Amino acid sequence: MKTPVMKLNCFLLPILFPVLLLGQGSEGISKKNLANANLNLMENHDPAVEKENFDLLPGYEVNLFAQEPMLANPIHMTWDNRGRLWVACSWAYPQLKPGEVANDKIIILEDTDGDGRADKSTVFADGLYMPTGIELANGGCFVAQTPDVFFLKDTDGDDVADVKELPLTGFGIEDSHHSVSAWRRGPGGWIYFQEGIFLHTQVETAHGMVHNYNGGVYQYNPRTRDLRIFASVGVGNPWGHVFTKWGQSFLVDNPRVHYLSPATGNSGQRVRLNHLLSTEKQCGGDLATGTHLPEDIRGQLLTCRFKSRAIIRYEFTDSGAGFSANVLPPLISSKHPNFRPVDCKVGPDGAVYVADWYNPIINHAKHNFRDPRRDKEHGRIWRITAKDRPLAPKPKLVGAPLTDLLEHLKSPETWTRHQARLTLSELQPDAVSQALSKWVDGLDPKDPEYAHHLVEAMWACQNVERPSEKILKLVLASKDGNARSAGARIIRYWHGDLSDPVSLLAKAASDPFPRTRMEAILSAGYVPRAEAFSAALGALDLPRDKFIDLALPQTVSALEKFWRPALEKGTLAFAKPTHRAFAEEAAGIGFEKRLNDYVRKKSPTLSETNQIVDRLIPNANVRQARMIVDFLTKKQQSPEVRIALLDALAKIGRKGKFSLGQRIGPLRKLIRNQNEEVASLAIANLGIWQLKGAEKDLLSILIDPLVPPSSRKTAAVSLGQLRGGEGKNALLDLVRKGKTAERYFAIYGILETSAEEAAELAVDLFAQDSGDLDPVALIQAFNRRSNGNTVLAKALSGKTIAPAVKDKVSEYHRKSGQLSKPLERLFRPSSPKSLSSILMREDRQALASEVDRLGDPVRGELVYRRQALACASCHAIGSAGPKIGPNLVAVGTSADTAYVVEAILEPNKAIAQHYENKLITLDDGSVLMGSIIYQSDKEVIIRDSSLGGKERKAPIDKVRKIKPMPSLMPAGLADQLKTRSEFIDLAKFVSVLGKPGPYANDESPLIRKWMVSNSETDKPGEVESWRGVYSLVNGILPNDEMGKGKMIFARGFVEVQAPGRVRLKVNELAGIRLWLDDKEIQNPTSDIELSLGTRSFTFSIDQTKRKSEGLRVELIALPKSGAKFQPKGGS
Amino acid sequence: MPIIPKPLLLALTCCLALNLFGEPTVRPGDRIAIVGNTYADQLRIHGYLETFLLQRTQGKPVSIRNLGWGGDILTVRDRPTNFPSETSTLTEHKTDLIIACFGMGESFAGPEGQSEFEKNLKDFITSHKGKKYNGQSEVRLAMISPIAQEDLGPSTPKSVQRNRNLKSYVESMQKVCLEEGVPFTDLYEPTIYLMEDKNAPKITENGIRLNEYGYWATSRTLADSLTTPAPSWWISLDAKSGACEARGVSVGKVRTAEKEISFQVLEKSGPSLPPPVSGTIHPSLQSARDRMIVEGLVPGEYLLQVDGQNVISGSHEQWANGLPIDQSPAHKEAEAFRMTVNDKNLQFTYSWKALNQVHIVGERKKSPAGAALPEEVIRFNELAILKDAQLREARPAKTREWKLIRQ
Repeated sequence: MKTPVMKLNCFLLPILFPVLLLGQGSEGISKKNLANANLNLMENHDPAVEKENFDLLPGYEVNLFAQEPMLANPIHMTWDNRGRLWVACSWAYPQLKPGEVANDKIIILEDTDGDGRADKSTVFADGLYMPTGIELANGGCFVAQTPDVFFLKDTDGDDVADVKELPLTGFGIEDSHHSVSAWRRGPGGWIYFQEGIFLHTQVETAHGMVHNYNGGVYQYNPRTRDLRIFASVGVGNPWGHVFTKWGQSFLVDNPRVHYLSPATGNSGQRVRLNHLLSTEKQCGGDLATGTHLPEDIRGQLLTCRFKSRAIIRYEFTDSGAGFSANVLPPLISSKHPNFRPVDCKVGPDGAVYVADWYNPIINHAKHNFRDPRRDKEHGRIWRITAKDRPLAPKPKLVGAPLTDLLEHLKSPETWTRHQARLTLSELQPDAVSQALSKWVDGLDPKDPEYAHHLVEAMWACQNVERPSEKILKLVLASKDGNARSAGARIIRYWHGDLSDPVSLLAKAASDPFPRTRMEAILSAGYVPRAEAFSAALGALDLPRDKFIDLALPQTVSALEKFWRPALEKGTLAFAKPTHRAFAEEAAGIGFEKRLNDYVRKKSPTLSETNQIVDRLIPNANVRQARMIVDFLTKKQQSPEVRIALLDALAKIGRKGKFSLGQRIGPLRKLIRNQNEEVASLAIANLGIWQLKGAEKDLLSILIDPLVPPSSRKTAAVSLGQLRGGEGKNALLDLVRKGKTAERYFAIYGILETSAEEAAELAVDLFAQDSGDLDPVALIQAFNRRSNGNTVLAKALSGKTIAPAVKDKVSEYHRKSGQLSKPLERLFRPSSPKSLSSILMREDRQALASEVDRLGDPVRGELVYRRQALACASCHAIGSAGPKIGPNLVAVGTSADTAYVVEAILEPNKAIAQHYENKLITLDDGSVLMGSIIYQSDKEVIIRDSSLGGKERKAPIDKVRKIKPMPSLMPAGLADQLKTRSEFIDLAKFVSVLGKPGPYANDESPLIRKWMVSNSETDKPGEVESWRGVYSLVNGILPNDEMGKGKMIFARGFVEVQAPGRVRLKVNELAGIRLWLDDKEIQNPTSDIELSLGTRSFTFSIDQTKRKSEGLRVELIALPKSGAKFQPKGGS
Repeated sequence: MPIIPKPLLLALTCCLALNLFGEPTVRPGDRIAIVGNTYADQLRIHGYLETFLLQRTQGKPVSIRNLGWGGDILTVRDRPTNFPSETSTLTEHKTDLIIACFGMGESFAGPEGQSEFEKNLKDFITSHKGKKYNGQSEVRLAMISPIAQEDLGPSTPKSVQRNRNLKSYVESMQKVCLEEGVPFTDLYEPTIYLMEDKNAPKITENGIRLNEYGYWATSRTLADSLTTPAPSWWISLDAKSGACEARGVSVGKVRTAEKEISFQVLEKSGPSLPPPVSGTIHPSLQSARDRMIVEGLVPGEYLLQVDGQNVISGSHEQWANGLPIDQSPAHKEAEAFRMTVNDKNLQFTYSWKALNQVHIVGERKKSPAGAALPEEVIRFNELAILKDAQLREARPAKTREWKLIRQ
């Protein structure tokens, strides 16, 4: 450590501490978390002490493989075929200082005597500047150092690179912590790497230009130097990518885990990928494979939680064409503050090797780049083995005869097969290809691993760029669907060398194994022929799921330039009429006929309706719109269908391309429909289409107190939209003479023609207590118009606003952050002393130190959960809670207390990535506000905090501008607290989240999201109203928050991915009864059989009989039961 | 006289043709900005062109900032969010001359994209017309064509077709530049000529981007097209008579003795930079190296010493054919100078194209974590300015003692 402070004896520190705080420089560097960290450990760099502080899964042990000075600051590791570990190390991280010379290194570690400890360290290359990924190929090492990718090679055998080439340059430089990283050679010999958000990339290659923005997954063929985008997905921090035994891809993109394969189509367009799980940030990693590791862990993803200092495990379960995932307890975790796992890889002996960045602080986003605590001296590689299990034999690959290498493709060790392929890739391609052809002939078809051996042979061919139709056909004829899916994948690479790729695709697209169908669909997109499209449509004959439905549109789009002309010329053949219908629908052909068929139906389904309206909305003509209007009342239709049709009609009408004339009758019949939404939409359409003769109807609804408020409000809006001002006169009349409610509603209508007028009228209303009326909805209406909030703020300036109105509106702001700054100020409840402003004036460091010393997290959690504060209406902690704000599950491990204090007091200072609040103005003047969660060249999707985090979409070509807004997290939050000590407690609670101890991230399958009810009934089936409550961080659903009553019901849901028996672990059994779905379970602790799907557990609780402070329920899978499940969280 | 190879001659004549009526493209004291694609960007790594330009503007040296960006094409030049605009950087550098390199990425659009390319090129030229980035005079432009595509087997697919496209894109550029009165340098012709020699080293990394040798190999052609061509050093000496002819240097006080010929060499022009490879190079590039021919030597082995330092030795026959002079003290100083050029460019890169732009100008600009970076970027720029000043210091022509000693 460079700072003198760090060199002081730790016993002196408590005395020196206050002095240091005062003497702190203007950079605001925090030294305070020394106060609550284990100071002894942080300064104790003895590896033995670090080792003592590990916790491992039962049955495992850990030893030190290598340490400084052999290496320091390891970032990423890869193995070579001699069993040596290559490590990229960076001293320059997080950024070179002026005057410094970059000298980062690639180091080769070797255990020459096989004792599990490295005894040799060689500097392969130096002079580098933040190498973020390395991978071996072509007899050398590819090194990512953004914007460059170097190829370094040793040609004279001293293990020191003497050739340095620049194969690629032009990768994004915006944020080095997610620039091209996590390199990995895939089974076919391509190298894969990822890039995260904000980065712009443009690379010139001899194969063409590669452009990318905002993250994605690349693949690079080191033999042909072909660089491609493997998956065009918007990923933030994609720091890990693994391949299964059958070549399927999983991506670690913190805090998410994705099944990546279905997003690898050829459309060239952004694919929106839904994650399997979202937990905590993590990077690097490997699948647990090989014979040394026990069977129960094999196939699990091991990845590194550098924040909470653990290697976590994920298990994957087949689910249709894709997978589902679960998180399992960590393989290893540590209490040592400096243990920072950043990569882990299974080694040649089958042990798990862990790169330990060893640093008290980590990534640069939450800590100052120049924080003096950044450690530049240490770094470790740990080795985890399973006790009493034999190590894997280390194969001899370099210089081995070709026949031996091929036999290694049968190895049960993934490490060995991978290295055998790498070794083969560097031999003479024709010799390898001929030998492989002979080798597959000699395989025993009865061997249980026969299908996999064939797949390995196929991949080996790919590694030497020698496509083999013979081996591919054997793979595609295999009995194992996994093998066939790998075969279907390779058609995307080999089609140019296959005699009839289309018929292979057609067969694979109707394969009984869903993943093979998905791969065939994706591969078809790479075969530039119209027939490949028809071939892919074979998948339509079999069940589809979300993975297949993600793949299919990519191929439709990729091949459109081939199939569309052929379809229009009538030259494209289809296997079935349903396939042709699909293609025609995709092409927009024959819609007229489908619409005619549709309106002749008695009661069409919602999905039929959606298919029609999806096509109708963009291109509807007047005749088609009238057909829909007439159809609305003709037959007995479900409300859902009516809603979809009315909604579509409204969207068509808003474009204002044509008029419906006098077609008012059918809509008029629906304006008092008993379904509120149907009625409301019908009323809205009257206004949108400006239908003559609607005034009377609209007015009568507006003034009818028996009509639901939503309809009355809409009626006012519609009145305002009517042409000629007739509606407006009626509205103004109401504002003058009407009852308070009518006046409120009338303003919505006036807002349609003039925001200024509406604002002036609203001023009078806001001066009075609104009673049970909703001033928030009116504010929202102003917000939704461009400039609406400015106009309103101007009108309200200097005017009186009733305290009750202020309370309602400011509470809304705390929950949603949607008010503009001037409006927020106007509606801020006047308090004699603002706690926020007092706290803001205090010394931030001193305040943080007080939080660390005096804060009580137990009290803090109760403050956090308080309704008025609305913390929990935006943030989740782990699986429990909404996604509007960042998940706070491990915030205490990455952010220091000063950051937490600052984030609460001044939320605009540092807004977490992905949560920037944006105001999007559309062409029609309407606005959307929220954080952008997905953006492509077609559409933008935001999460709208005013709608509880609901997603809202807008087509890109309708977006006029996107403007940054203040943080969604409102300033002045502290004003909702009663005392200063409540603030201290709240900050303390947030600052300890994720730290070892009672607030650590506990991912045990606990029910954390509950629906509770205090009904008078004694059967859960009769309960009418539920409300949501989350468990405390410790998993307890507190009695106090269940409500009062004799009998209380609490219900949690569990997603069952694989059926099997479980047992419940309940903190106290007194006074409870349990139902699984509708069936009562007599003994809540007996074994319970769970079937596939969503299951509910409902408890009835008699609080008078209970002693504990609440209910805590954990699910335990019984040994060998096969059950896989995940309690449902979310908002 | 060494023979100037045909393509170099071609390139020379064509750029001369454009410059016949005026001064050379690069004028002493020019403040130059290089913009464009990966070719432009990588000029900063190798420093050959810049060293040449500084050598040839001694007395009133140029100042260069490389604003090239990997993968730039005329219409797509992605930058980090809120990155300073090109105009602001050109203005900050008080740019007199823009050297623009485009056409490689664009050429992938093939014949269908060609007319669009011509239009975009015109638009690019027009966009700078009348702009006074130096605050005084209208900025001048010079355009550099892409190189040809080298055939490296499977990693450079469709080489023949690609070169056809590249050639016609280069013709488009030439046409537009002629119309717009912009000096133009064709790198396609000289590079395809070099690429055709299958026995010589490869000049590209990946078929379309020059390697260090490739940058060296094209640097004189390029420098000659931008400035008044200056030949490499050439000394021809008759051992018997002491008669001497020289170019680039002047030779005096020749003394011939039985075992030693000594003479003084005044270095009138900068020495040629030695090739970055040992062993064979393209025969046509031998003329780009400094060279000495000594005829009439008594048979034997002769060592050249300059100011007491060994430079090269060869037999009397080799000397009679001429030997390259790459390692004299002047050459070593020139190499060291090139390293300073590269270091200046590196410090400028650390400043202008610093990593972690999100913290400097972009999305995380307000995040306290990166608060130190904007200030550090300024300090990196100061380092670049310091190095630049060092490069522009006067370097008076030196006279050195040369000796050819019989071994």
